[in-house]
Amino acid sequence: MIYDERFQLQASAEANYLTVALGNDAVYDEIALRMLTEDKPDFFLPLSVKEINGRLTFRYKLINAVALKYAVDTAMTKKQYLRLASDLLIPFIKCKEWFLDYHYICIEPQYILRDKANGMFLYAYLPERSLRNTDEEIIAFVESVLNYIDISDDKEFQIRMMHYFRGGSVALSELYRMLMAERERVMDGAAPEPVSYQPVPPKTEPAKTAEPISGGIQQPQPPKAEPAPAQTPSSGAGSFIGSLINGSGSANANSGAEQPAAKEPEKKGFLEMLGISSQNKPAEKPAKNNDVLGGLFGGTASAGTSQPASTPVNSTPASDSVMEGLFGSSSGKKPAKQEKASDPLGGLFGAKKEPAEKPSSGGGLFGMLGGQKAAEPKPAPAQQQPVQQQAAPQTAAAAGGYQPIGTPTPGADASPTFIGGGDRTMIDDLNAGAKYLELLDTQYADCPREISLIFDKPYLVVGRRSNDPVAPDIAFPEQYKGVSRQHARITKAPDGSLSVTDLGSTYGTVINGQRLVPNAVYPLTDGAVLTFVESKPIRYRVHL
Amino acid sequence: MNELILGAYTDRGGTRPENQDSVFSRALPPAPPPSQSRSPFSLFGGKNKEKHPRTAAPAPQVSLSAVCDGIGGLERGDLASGVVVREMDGWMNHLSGWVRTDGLETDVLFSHFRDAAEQWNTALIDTIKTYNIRSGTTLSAILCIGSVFGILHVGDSRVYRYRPTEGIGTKLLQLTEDESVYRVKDGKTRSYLENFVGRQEPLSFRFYTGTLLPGDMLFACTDGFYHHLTEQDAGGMYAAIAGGTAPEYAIADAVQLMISRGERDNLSASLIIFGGCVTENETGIAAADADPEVTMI
Repeated sequence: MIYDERFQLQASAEANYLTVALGNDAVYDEIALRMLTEDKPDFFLPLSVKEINGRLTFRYKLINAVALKYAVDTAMTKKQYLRLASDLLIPFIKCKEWFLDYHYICIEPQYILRDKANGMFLYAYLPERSLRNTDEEIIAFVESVLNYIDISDDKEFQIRMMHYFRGGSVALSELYRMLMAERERVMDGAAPEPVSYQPVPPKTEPAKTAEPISGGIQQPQPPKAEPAPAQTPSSGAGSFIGSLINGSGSANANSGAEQPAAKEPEKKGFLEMLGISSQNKPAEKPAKNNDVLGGLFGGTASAGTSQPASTPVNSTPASDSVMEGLFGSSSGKKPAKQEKASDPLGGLFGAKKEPAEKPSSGGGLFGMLGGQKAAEPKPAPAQQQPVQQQAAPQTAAAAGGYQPIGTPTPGADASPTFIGGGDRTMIDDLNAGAKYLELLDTQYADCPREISLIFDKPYLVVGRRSNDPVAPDIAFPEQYKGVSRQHARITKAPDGSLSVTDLGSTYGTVINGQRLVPNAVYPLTDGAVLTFVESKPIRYRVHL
Repeated sequence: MNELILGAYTDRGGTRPENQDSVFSRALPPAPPPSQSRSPFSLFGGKNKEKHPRTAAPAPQVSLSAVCDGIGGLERGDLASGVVVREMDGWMNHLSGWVRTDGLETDVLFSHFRDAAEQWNTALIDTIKTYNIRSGTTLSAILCIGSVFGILHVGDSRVYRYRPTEGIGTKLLQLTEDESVYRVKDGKTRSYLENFVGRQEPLSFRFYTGTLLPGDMLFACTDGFYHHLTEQDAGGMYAAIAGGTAPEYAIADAVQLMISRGERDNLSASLIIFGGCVTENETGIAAADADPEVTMI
């Protein structure tokens, strides 16, 4: 479903609210509304139902919690990942205990909160028919969150998670069980328990006209094994990726169709009890059997799924084989190292190690949102021009030709104005009119102490030396891996004023403590602190 | 004109006990119009794409297609190829946060592509050290920015271009050079990789750039796929896609054909078709007028 203008965020002195205004033809689940307003499951946001301007409105109180986008770091340890992943799934798993349907859980990230105190994820439950999500949408949401995270201390586990999602047979209940089991092992430090291997039931041939899976990574599906548990694999099991650029490629097949029950006569409707006139028709009471909550929860196979036809996933004894097929190698024969620990989430657990240098959390991907954690103190933000798109400078490449090796591109000076090694550059005698960058501090050895900002060209490129045919104008040594080959550009306007643009560097450019949005132009002012590489900063003061 | 068709498929094949190949195929969503702010949550599922209709003149699309072939002679080739592909996904996530393809500077993005490859190499080496194994993988990755492409190549997987408008015998062109040597051992000629990801730092790689004509197909494939590949096979794949078959299924059919010819290795391919499929008579641009040069830098 689409989260459109019906969804509004409102702020009051008391709290922030999410309001969802329903149309006149809304069909809502009265039982669910009663459950949410009276019994109040603790993993759903507090809900109140109002009638505003004749329209039924759901109103959720956003309390003491952090939005999902701030609750998810790009890099986590395995422990943190397991906790987050299992917490993320709890409402989908437990909602049926409250006679609620997981399809109506709001999966728009900006409306998902994480409790600051206990880490619990809080969702909005939207019991209106038009707000129903498909299984594919839910899986895509879970996958997008979990695959977004780098697990710094267990790459193999991360690869297995990636393969699991791309394997095409995701079942949230199975995933949750496995995550919890893994979490317990990791927390206890216990050795992984072996799980007996059972071959995955054979898959049928993929339909030629089936919708492609949206683009991503694939590992082969489990082999098309014979029904007898054969250890030698049969031939030719493959897996598919397709994405047509004009569409996501994922169908919105509505799986797990509801089975409407007979309408119960109500002496007094739920809304009437709240004093709201029931202009909107309540939905027919949904069946409470597992067929409604099938699909992802190991019931009958989803109908009309967009993925290549697969055997039904059910919660019977084949569950182990499902786990094995999803997490093990794709064949009956395991590699030697895996056999000693054939648990569903893989046999090898990497030793804990310090995470490699990574973009700081909330950096690169969130830089444009200013998405540093709210707790971090920030200096006064730099003055900013309105964000402009930097005009692409004319280069030979942009003009359509490619320069052979050794030919400098027009407008670019092949010899950099700065060469690393700690030597002062061309500024031997400074006068009041000199424009330069003065090194303040750095963790890199041999950074230049001063960099001249006097140049005749339209711009200077700051970057790292490499085997590229054209070096940047200000070239840091090759071993400074945090600096991108083309890290930032310092541009001179016709009036002589200077500005800086981050060119999409991996580890960022910062002015006065604020990370620059890539491709946005920021003025360089006298006294500003310009930093390359946010995580291992090389800080310069601007002198103009 | 800027339409891209992408697809990928990987198969264990008929003989190998496991699949040590990994494939990647992903395109960034089109740039939103300047008047609409980009939703910060396009990173999570991209459900807001309906709110950002295409501009009248679509910006060039950015896509990454790649194959990695874990080295069978070392340990955990599947892990090695999986790590690199996972890192690619992370890099595309990073790009999706800021890349606007309108006004995009291809040189800058290609330089980031090369930086990223070095980071993928570092990530794999870290993994290798963590697990105390010897491992590695080939890498052939195609970054397309509209009609311009850059190929980053390590090892002996290959990238081919299939151009339907060329004459018979020249439609299929190998764009990359194999980084392997052939030696005779025990009376048999065997191929030995000279270079692979995870071997050393800094990463040694080859980088090619070029321009595509509408209808051109680029595909990266592992050696299991190309050992028995012919121009006709590539043409069959192309024709199937032109006829409406999803690209990944077209590749799967080609894989089965290779297996039937006796291929024993894992087989993988990831393809991209620029500007939609064309027939020999449809193109309005003579091949000779285009800039067909593929330059290695």
